[in-house]
Amino acid sequence: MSASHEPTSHTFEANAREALANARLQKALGAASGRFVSHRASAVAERPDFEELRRCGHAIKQEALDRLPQLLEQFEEHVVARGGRVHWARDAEEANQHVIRIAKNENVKRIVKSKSMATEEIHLNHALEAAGFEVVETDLGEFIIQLDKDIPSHIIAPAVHLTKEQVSEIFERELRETNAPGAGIPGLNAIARRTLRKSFLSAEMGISGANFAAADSGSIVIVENEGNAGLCSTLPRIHVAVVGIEKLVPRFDDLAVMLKLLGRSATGQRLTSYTNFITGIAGDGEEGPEQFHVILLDNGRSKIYDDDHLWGSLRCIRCGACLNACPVYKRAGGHAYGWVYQGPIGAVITPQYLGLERAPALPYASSLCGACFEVCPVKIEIPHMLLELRSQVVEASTEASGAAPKRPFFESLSFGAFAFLGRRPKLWDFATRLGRWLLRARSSDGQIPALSLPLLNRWTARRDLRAPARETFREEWARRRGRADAEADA
Amino acid sequence: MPRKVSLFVTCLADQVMTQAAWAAVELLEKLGCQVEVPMGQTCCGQPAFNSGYRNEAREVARHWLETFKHAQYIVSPSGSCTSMVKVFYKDLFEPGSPEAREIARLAARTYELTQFIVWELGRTDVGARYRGKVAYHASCHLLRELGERHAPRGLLERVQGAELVSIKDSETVCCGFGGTFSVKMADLSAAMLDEKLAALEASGADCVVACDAGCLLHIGGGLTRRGSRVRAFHIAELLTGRVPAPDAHV
Amino acid sequence: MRWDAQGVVYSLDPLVQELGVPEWLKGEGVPGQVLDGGEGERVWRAELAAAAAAQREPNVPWHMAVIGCAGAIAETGSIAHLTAPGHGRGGWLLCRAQVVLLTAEQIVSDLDGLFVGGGALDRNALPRAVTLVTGPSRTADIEQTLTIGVHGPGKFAAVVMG
Ligand code: SF4
Repeated sequence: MSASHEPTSHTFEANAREALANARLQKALGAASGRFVSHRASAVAERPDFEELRRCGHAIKQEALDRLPQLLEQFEEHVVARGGRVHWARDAEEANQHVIRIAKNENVKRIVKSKSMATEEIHLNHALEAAGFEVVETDLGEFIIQLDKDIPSHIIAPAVHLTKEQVSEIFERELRETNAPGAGIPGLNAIARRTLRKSFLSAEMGISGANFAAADSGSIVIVENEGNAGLCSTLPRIHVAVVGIEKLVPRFDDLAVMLKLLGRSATGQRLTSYTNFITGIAGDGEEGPEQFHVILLDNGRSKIYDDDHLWGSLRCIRCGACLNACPVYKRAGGHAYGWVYQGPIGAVITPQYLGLERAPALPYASSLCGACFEVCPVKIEIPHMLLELRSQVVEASTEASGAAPKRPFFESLSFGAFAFLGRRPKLWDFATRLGRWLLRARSSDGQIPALSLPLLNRWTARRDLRAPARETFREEWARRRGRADAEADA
Repeated sequence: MPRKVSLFVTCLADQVMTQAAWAAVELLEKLGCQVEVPMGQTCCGQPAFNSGYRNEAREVARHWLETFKHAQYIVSPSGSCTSMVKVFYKDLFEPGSPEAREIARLAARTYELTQFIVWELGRTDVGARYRGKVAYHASCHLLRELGERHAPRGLLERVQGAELVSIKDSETVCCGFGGTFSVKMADLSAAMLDEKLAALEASGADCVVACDAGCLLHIGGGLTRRGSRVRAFHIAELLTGRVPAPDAHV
Repeated sequence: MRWDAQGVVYSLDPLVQELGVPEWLKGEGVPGQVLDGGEGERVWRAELAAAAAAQREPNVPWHMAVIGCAGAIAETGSIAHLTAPGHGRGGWLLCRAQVVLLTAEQIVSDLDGLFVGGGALDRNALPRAVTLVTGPSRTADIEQTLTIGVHGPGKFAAVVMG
């Protein structure tokens, strides 16, 4: 429970070490990732055309990016035509101010929220509370997180790092629910339902995010399982949706593909319990809010848009599949990434939102195993992007401005030497002979149990290092086959 | 005409796992290829590339292109190094540059060893025998960057006497090597390794084989540190009878 | 199926009328309320709000919603609800149980079938809210353990009328 919500991405390694040492967390993460992975796998197996769906999903989102400026305008026109309003926000501050202004103008006191990563990103709750409004998160996971003054650790399962015992403690402490300990998971759900009902029925404003926004109809789509987003967008008289500009799809009909991908990838559901398609304000005699506001949020997205190598990351539909598939996320947990987006996609986009200098370790938080790309419903080339970011980290570190942290001296020296020797075979052979000799001197039984050399000591802390050969394969080859080779060459 | 194969040994097999390289040679020759070893080869540049040192990687990549420019077939006992050439080299040079054209030309004739044997030579039965239980570790780059699920298994299924046992989540969980990841984020890497080793030991296998020297260095180092009875070998070692039967090992 | 509802809310749907739900409720003496946003629904909501404010929710009588739909999907077992006068959404979302009446002709094989002209998701005829409902309200936010009925109805049944 970190009360401070300052990003801690720059200390990823230390964060991860702490997570590894936390047995309770490791247990929670292991169990959750196992469930997510197997649910997704069976839902995907049901659709023999899933690869085709992925290709379509990729194409739809890529088209949306290609035509983004035009689509955004089209979207705005349709929202307005249906009685809604669109507010453009360059950054978090502007977005928060829009919401606060609307709330003040409309005499709002109580606000209910459904889950939205975009609002996490801009710390909307903080801003609203500071401005004197009562804001209640209504998604169960987010509700727990809000009570505990914590931050989400998973895009779609915010409280995945907590055990039920911890949740009981939080309810007992924050809601004075003396029955919470021992209530079991259904009991805890009932407490949340009862507590939040009051908020739904009295709030004047409901705030949601959006999973998708369709340019040709001005609709937003909110995907959920609990019913809270449906209530947030129905009961209060004002509905505000905070929508990242990358949520656009060109056509309303594209949603058929996107929804088939999202449910299966996220939770292994064909469709979630409730899929809400929201278009404009309520008509005469129709139930629904009198006002519908869409805040279109940039907040760094157009900067990503301008990076030729990384703009594809804007295709992300925040399904969380890459987190669940990632062996690093599974160990480090979401909080280690230090900001609102976690796992492989977090490692790609956090450095872009916060600046590389504030998250220089994240691009390295991957073994490049590619499991993320394999499951991504919109085929985001995460490993390639991490590699690109690594090169940007190194490049920035050599810039004269000195804004970016320098790479460790030993590292740049080694790679300098590597490049020098790598294209001079004779010197390479000489240097590696020396290296092998040094390493062999420390070995016993063909293995090196401990080394005090930089970096290699980290290897030998947990594994043996196989001793190098006395003679390289090529040397041996030359000795044994030299003549044959010479003949072949002649 | 026998196929002329230039062996792309890879630095790790050259310097540390020489047995794997010899096994690859033996296998290729047994299948009728004529093997040559370009003596000027060093490394493909992957360590620098993976660490973000693209200028450095580019220089080494240029050397690689020069070294193998006359090759008819380029075959490597490592999936990861093969993917460096086939998949990642193009990220290092401008599209349309002379290097990019050269990469396209050479990448098309570069193969990981088992892919070459199965898809190019059309062989799965290489006459291998082994009395024991074998687990196959699907290394990530061969599996995902090169998209290969079948070739290594096809070869292993035809090893006489061998029982192929499966490792839990063998296709979804990385061993944690990741090149420099294993030292940069050594604790995370070790945690991933632990899970892989536990799965290996639970599989009942007496040896694990893979098509990647890096993963084998990692898994092998973990196994000996644990004092495990499971041993790690390159797939070519198994296919050429270099792996002693489990009872002979004790 | 016995859910022991002690009050029923219903939409102004032809199937609901055809089945004679309002008359039947009257005959049985079960409190019934149409979801038309009128005075009756307002009173019902106010009761719910008062109960919630007093934190009595678990003890208030069960409420069940009986509604129609504008289409259904065979592959996913979903129904599509469209808001319209007499077809409120908040009402059934607040209930403990939800029964959806439909006819076999309304069922399409998969999601695509709803996007066609005249379908529930016809781009040119979208109401304020279309809700695809697929089963009961659920959550797995605590320990990834599935629990039913967190905010919306914990019971869901679709009845295909012959
Ligand atoms: S990157 Fe892909 S897998 Fe990861 S959250 Fe985004 S859409 Fe899902």
